[in-house]
Amino acid sequence: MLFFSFFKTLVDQELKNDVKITGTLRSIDQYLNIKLDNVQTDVAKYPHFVAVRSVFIRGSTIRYIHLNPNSVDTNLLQDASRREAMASSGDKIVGR
Amino acid sequence: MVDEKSVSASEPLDLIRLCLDEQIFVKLRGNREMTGKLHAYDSHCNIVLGDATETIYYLESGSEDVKSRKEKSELVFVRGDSVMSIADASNIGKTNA
Amino acid sequence: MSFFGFDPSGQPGHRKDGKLDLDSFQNFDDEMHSEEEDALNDETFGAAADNLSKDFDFSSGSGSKLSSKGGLKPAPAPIQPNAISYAQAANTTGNDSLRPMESLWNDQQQNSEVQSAQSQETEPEKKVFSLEEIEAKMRAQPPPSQLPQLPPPQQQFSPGMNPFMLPPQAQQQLLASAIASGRYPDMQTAARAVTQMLMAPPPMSQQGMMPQGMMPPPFMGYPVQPMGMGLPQQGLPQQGLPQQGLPQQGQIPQPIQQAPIQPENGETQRAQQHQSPLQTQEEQAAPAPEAPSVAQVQVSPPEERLDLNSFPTIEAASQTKSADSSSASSPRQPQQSHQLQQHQQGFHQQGYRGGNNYRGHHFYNQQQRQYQQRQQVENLNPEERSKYLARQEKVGKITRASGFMNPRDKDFITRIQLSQIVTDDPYNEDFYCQVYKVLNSSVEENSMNYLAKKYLEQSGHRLGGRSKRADIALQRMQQQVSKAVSVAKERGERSGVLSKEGALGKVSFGTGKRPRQLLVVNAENKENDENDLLPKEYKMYRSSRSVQLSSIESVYSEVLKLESRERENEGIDDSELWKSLQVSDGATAEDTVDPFVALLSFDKMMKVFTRVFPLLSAEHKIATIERIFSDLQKVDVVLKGSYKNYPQQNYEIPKDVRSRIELFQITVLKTLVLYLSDAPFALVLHLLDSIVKKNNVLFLCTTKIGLSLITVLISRLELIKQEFSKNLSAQDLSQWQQTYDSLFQCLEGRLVTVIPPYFSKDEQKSVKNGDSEGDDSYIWQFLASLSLAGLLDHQRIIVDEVRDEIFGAMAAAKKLKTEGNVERAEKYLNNLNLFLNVMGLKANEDDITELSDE
Repeated sequence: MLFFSFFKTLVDQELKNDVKITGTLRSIDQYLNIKLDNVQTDVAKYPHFVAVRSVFIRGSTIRYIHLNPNSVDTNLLQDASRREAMASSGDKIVGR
Repeated sequence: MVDEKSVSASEPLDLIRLCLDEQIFVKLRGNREMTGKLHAYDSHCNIVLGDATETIYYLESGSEDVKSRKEKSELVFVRGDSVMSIADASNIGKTNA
Repeated sequence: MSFFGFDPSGQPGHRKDGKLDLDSFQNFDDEMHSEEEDALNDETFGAAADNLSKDFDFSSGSGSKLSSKGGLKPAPAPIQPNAISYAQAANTTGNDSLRPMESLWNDQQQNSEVQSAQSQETEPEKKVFSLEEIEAKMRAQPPPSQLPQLPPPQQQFSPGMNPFMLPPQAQQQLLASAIASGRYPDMQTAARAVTQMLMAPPPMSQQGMMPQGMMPPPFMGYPVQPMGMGLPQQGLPQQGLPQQGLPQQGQIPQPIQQAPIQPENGETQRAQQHQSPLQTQEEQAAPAPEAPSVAQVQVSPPEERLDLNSFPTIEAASQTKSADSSSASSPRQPQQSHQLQQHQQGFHQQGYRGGNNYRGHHFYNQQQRQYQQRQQVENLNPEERSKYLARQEKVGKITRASGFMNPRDKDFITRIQLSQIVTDDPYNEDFYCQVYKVLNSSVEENSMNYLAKKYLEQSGHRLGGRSKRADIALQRMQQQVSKAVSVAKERGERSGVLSKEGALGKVSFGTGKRPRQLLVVNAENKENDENDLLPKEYKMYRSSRSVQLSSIESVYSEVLKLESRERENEGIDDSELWKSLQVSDGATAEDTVDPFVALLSFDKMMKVFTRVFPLLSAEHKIATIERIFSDLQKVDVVLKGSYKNYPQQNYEIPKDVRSRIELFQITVLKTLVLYLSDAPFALVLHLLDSIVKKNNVLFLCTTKIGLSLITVLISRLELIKQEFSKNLSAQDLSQWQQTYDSLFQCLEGRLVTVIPPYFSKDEQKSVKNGDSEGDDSYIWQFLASLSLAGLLDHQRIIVDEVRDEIFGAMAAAKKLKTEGNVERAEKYLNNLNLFLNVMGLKANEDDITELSDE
């Protein structure tokens, strides 16, 4: 659930997945399916996206999501990764 | 000699943990490689890389030579399904120069 | 028949004793109303739920649903007498721990449930055909596309509000209660709903409805069945319904007798027994002209008709697998009625084993439905009609794919899904988000982003936490799921599939968080001597990178644990952390560097140091600092941080080293300085002593880190000496004097080396490189503190040694000023004066003067 938790903090970030869709992250679920608003694509390359303003993308079709570094706390993210790793190896942190 | 339980007795994913906050080298599907600083990972090998450089290898039609191009990203989430391998970049000698 | 997700308790016998379903009913009702997303929805499903509507038709979806629900054989959907609500089925069928969480998966599922139930009740006729029969009919019949040309069956509905052969009061009562129930937007809808309800086949539908709790309280039990008896009068497409074929006259009184109690099947069937096949046929045939398609179906060879009526025997005889044949061969009426009775019970008990070709009657269904719809539509005014059509369309959309899974399937899927999501440790799972929120809470509180975030935070629930209900539902879900998960785990343990050492294959339960492990290697079995068996190059040395990384990660683990305890206000025991730091391990023969100091060469170790330090006990803190100071020159950033290492690069320190020096400054150095600013004289002195004795001071002084640290120590000592001299023993003071002397001795005659060539203002020495524009104040601070702590002799020596630099700085400042760069000139002078002021001097770009007391 780390990445679900992570992406929840990224509402309103510009994202790009492999078909290069840029938009504002509006919502995300635990499968990392995402919903983008204000969608922009390379119209010349993907003319069928011209009219798309808002799009749901199945998580499994995503290769990359490029993020804005200013909205990510990488140290916290590393800690979160560690906590998750610890939890799954049985060395769980009980408190907050 | 050394209490190395923490290293040798670990599960595969724990080796990735060692690379947190370090430069890693990731082989990806689709003839791609990426180096960058590992900021997060999970059990699906979803990862977040900082200051990443992606190298994409491709063949141009009519040519035998493998060409490559690079793309940079300040911070990128890579979905686990395209990850083939993750290595400590310092072990490979392919750092993000 | 719980195997099929049906509860045998839904049989007539059980039903009699009353309200067994009331509770779940209430819940359901509530939840239905919590779904106020869509007015149409409410109208549609409210009405639909409230009566045994006949005019609603649910296409393929419901048909297939029923069949799949029926289990092994595609069961004839329509009569589904044991149409217990899915929710209820899930509740009651042996799986109490796992309700399907209706409220969460709400309306889609709910609605489909409603509809399936509805459809089960609305189309009982379908059931009556076997594949062959239907095929025969299809052949004999115009295609469904002709249906629209049917003459409008107006007169059937023209009585409109009052189509029944009921005592008017009863009708009124019904209508009134329907309206009072508030489910109908207007009088007409209510009336229609009542009509539909009245038309529904009594016993089965009741069984179907009641458990589902879809009927509004006013209708519970009482009026439904009696009204159903009046159905045939409407001339509605009751043809396929054996029950509807009853002569109304005989039936009418019955409702009244049966009134307040839920009608009993037996009675109905008894009533049906009076009915002669002929009558049935006649009645069935009667509407034919108006509804050719349906009628044609009905006006089929007698055997078929008999077969239709007697078909239920199939269910009754479903103990025997040759149900179809047996039913076909039992055309006689007494038998039929008897069978009917049996059939009903059989249904409940056997959960629909009875086979039929569902596609066949599905097709028939469609025709029937279309006809019914048509009838309805004809009776409506345009406004109503459009409304009705919209509703139909909506219903059709929703139900198109509904019903492919039975409640068990749904439970199963739900459990899988939820076991992936649910956690008994929500904070940990959501750690990043939670902490990020706290850290960034002050930002953009009012923007839309904030709203959107808030929305997302409210769980993934569709209601987005809009209503309290969502929270409650979530809570309930969590409880139920954790129960379900633990049950599943126990089961796994009992059956021993949980984990088998060394086994490939089904070993453990996977979750989203922890995918199933395919191979479990027993780590405990690792022999100690295994390491000796390894080739030398595979041996793990403590200085190897992966061992170091792993040590750092265990430090992190301990830090995270302790920080967590701290937040929970629990006591902190740093022993584990201390062990992981390896401070007290000391260097062994294999190591060139102390293991702890070696770890400090990693960025992440520097980062975590600021967190480690406060968690340590007092003596561990001191021990840690001592370790760092006595090995200071081996600390990576010091070792690589001397300009003297890089004569070939113009003394320029490489970029990556510089950035790590900066990191070290803001992490480790900052932490140490903070600690030292409170440290007692003796300790500081001891630390300075260990630096001077155990390190090459001259080398340290060519590094920024070393110089800064020495500066801090000296100034701290001087500060204490000047402010609290009374508290200091003569021994302390003399020791301080000794230490200072030895420090000074190391530097005497080579003091200029503290100034890197790129900062030097001495013309002969100066070198320009990328660092030249950097901040050199730390050097002047060092010289200042060194002077401060020294005697007049020391000061004289210092000034003498750096004289060229002093005048160089003044010259540079003058030059900058003439160039107009006053700011930078001032900076040079200020740094210079840091040092000169200590000796009561003051410099400007032209001159050095005595510091005056202005």
